[in-house]
Amino acid sequence: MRVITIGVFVLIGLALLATELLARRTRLRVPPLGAVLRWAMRRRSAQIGIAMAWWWIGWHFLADWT
Amino acid sequence: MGRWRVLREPTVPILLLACVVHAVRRNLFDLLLFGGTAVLIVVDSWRTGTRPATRTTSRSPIWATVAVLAFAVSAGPLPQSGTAIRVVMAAAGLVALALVTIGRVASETPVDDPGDAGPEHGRGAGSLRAGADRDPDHGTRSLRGWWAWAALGVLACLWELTSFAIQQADPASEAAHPTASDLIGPLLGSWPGRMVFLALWAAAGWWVLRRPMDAPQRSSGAAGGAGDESVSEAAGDDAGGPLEIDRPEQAAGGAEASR
Repeated sequence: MRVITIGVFVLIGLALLATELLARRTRLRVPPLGAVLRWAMRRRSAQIGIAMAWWWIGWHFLADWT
Repeated sequence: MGRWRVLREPTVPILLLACVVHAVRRNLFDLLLFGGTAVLIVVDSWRTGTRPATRTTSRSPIWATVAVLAFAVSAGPLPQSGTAIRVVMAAAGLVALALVTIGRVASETPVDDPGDAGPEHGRGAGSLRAGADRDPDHGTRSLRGWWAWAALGVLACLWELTSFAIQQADPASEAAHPTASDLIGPLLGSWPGRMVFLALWAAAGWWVLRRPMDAPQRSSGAAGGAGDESVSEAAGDDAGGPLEIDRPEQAAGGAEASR
């Protein structure tokens, strides 16, 4: 079961990577992640929320890891 | 009701959903952090007036790269979960908070923004165009495929939550159903792993935090379609150039907002 659980995480990671590559190298109608984030961050609420999420990831793994 | 307009945006509901997860995790710090951020967003939306147009970030990728690497090299050797790294991370958080809230008022919540329904809004109905999507063969493309990223993000969250829920129901199954945190955390037990993580984290932070500061100064009295003006300038320094908005659509957004 552990292999399946990890495998799905790996598959999702590969899908994210593939989506970025498709966005940058092909004519598919998929924007790069940066463009989507910029679009989302046109709102101030998203700017604050994404900034907090960014900081929390660092805190969670480095300072609060137990 | 205008004071609570920000609640119609997705950020606060997402934060409140995360609060539920942190409550289940019984992690008071994370619960307060996410809940406090939701409150901050609401209070911030009430702000009026303009902020000084100070600019403290460097657009130079060289200086940013040097700063990111210096941070990773200096903080990487600090032991995981130790006092020193907590102080460093807390300081970084305070700086980020200051940059986001005290810096320029970047783009206050647009009123009835035509992009509310997502970037796949269709021509003539408020679609945004991203310069970063530009390719030499096609010119500018729209953000129509944004849902692919959203779907993958939701899928990742659901899988993480599934593993977490199974662990909560049966703690003995933790090894069989690890969460992403369970898998990534141990990789940061060594200083090289922490350095790589810190470099990536700091680079992402530089990208995220320069947006509020690089946005143009504007009065909060302007609402609706004018809110989108900040998009084009705030995003203009990335690889692909500025986000672009079709003029007729922008006008439609402003008209809608004035209703």
